[in-house]
Amino acid sequence: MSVVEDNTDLVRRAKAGDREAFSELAAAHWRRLLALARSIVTDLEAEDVVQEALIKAWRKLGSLRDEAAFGAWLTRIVANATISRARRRRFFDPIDGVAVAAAGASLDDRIDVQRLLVQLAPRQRAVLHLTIIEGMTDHEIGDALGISTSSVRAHRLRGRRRMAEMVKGGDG
Amino acid sequence: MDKNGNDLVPELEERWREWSQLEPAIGEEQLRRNLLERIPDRRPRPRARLALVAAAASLLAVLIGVESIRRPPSPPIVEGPTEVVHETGNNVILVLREGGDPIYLAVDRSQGMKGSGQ
Repeated sequence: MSVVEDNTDLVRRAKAGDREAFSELAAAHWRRLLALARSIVTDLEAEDVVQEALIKAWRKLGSLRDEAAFGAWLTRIVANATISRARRRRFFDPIDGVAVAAAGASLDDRIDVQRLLVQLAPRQRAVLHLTIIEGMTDHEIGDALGISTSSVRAHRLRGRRRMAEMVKGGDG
Repeated sequence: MDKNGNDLVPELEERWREWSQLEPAIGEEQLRRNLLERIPDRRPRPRARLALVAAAASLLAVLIGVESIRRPPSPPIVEGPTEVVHETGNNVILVLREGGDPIYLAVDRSQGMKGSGQ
């Protein structure tokens, strides 16, 4: 799992109420969490959702038992917040003719990640992101999203099939 | 793609990685400032804690005082060479000491003497 290595001392200080320590930890995880959020909600909303999730994490920090697991714990909070936001607001409204571009164009030109993601359920986006970008195991993804490993596999399979179909077929 | 859907188009994965690394509009420093402005202070403040302790002590003193006024000192229950002890309430005794200030003691009847106040 490619989560940022945490300074457990910083985590302890944050748990004790040190806001500076928490903001330092949050900054260390910022880009990783933002990338996750971008895969689930729109670019414009991602920064807002992650900041809100960080504030929520600050409030819940007392419930974190294992300081070494801070990164995974934070991932869970952000993943749940972004999935919930995506479901509630349907950020990824389907775009007419989604495709990726004309079928005749080169494969590279036909790939527009954000447009492809539109076609997936929020949880499929999260599972694929954590697999492809973060390299997490099924077990870690299951923990992060609060689902079983078999659900992780099912979401990934369906998401990958859908995306591969779109890329190869050039249709939406 | 194999039947398990495990070989996502490599170009797509590559494009996705690039896309996920786009520069954020809010950098780390800005994020830190935003958080410091927005997250509430969870640390108990020493001054607030001291004020709480002082308030509790004051309340105890008032309660003892009220109780002792409501029930004037009884005849001495213990009298020694240097001090006289009066019962001033159900849970309070007054100790008059020779050469010292009088003190009130809060008494837990089930466990004996527990604390003191003046």
